[in-house]
Amino acid sequence: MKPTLILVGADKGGVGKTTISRAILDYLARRNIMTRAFDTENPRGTLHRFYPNITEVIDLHHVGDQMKILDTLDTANVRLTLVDLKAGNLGRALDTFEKIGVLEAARAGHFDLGLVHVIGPAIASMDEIGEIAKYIHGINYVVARNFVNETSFFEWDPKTYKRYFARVKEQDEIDIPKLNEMAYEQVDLSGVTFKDFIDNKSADGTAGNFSFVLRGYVRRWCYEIDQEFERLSLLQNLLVQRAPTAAAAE
Amino acid sequence: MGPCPRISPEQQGGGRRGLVTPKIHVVCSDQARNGKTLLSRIIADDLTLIGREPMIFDAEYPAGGIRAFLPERTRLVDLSKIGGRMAMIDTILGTPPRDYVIDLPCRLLLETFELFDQIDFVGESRNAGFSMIVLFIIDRPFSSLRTARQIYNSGQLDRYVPVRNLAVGHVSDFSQIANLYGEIAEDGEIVLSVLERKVVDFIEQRGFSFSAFLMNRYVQPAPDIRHNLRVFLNDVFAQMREVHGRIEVHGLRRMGLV
Repeated sequence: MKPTLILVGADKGGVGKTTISRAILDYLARRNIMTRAFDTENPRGTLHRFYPNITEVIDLHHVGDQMKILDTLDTANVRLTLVDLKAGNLGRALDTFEKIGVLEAARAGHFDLGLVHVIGPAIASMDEIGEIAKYIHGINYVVARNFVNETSFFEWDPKTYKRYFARVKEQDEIDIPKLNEMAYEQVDLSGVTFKDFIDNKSADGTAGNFSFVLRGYVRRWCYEIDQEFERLSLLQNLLVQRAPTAAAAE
Repeated sequence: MGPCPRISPEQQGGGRRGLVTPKIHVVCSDQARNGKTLLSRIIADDLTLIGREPMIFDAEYPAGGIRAFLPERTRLVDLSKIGGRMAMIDTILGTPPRDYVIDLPCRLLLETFELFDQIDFVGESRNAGFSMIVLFIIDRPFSSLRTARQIYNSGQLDRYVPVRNLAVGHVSDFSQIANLYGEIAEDGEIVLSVLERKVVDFIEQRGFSFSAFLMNRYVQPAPDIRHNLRVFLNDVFAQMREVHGRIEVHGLRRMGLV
């Protein structure tokens, strides 16, 4: 069965890359799909804090760390490998992957490759789309508009929108809904996965003491984000070819 | 969209198997000054009289409404803020089950039911052993009935009871809306009869409680006031007991016990 590699990135910082990486891992864990993740925010990764058992912090510019991801896609006992790219590193990472033949291998069908490009409410974020357009033909390109920390997003003017996507032939789009700020902070502070927060479980596996209201907000947010993920063939293919089906490591 | 089915905790298989299901009474309306706080007070005092020791959430923040009458068992909460929502809902679900009365101001009506839906409060309270009763006071404008139906259809509420306060009135030609009303009154209705002005003045005194009055722990008014108030209370208590009884019997019937 073909492995899947998902890169989650953005050149702009603070747009919610790690939140979306967590949401993807959480979505798949709730469906018993085993995953592993690489956090390129070295030396101390944020993603690693939430998924310590399946996440390794790496430096993507070290050949040894590149090998950890790419040379083990077929042999790792998981269907999905997710790489949370450090802020400002998206273009450089794609350039590296192009040079070493990763993108070409994906285009040739050796594995499924998806890029989840997280954009925030700023034109700078939109400009990135044009900058990376040359890399993304033949791979699953997903634009994730992140509302999680924002009360509003800039209006998508049709002309502006068309201009930014002119060089991108195909893309999926998802909206990451807003999550109540206090609920978001509480999950963040507790260092647990969204699923464990909803289930009122602490990081050490014991019963938590999280507010029902905040858990309710997170449950609802996960429900809404699931609706978005269910439109992505990149993730749905993983569910169709469900193997191995053992509970996810987290 | 048709009305959602009403599911009792017993049907769900969750909750405590006590003799009486603890209940959360949400007293609400889309209009102000039509008897929400009066009905909340009567329900709370009725529960007090039968030893159920209810707790009241007064959402008329910051002024407070029902708190002026039953301060010892009332907590003022700001349901427009997350802190207030946590104070109420985490208390209800995080402490041993008891009866609750929520006096909800009309300005927070839709927002609060949207919150209940978002966090699945009804389902979680059911799992915790509660039965939730929404008592909606239908006012004179037709829009009030429309909003009542909107709330009725908004989620899997356990029980929904429309209330008509005859002192306020209702849609002018009730016969025209009887069918629409009938659909939302399947769990029964409460009708508040008209009280004379002097009775209203008597019960609106700060600190007055119906339970204290009925237990003769309050300065007794003139005989006619006392008589009229007793008749009024007996009437409302009887209707509330019928609603509560129907809920219990419904649950027992579903369990095949009656």
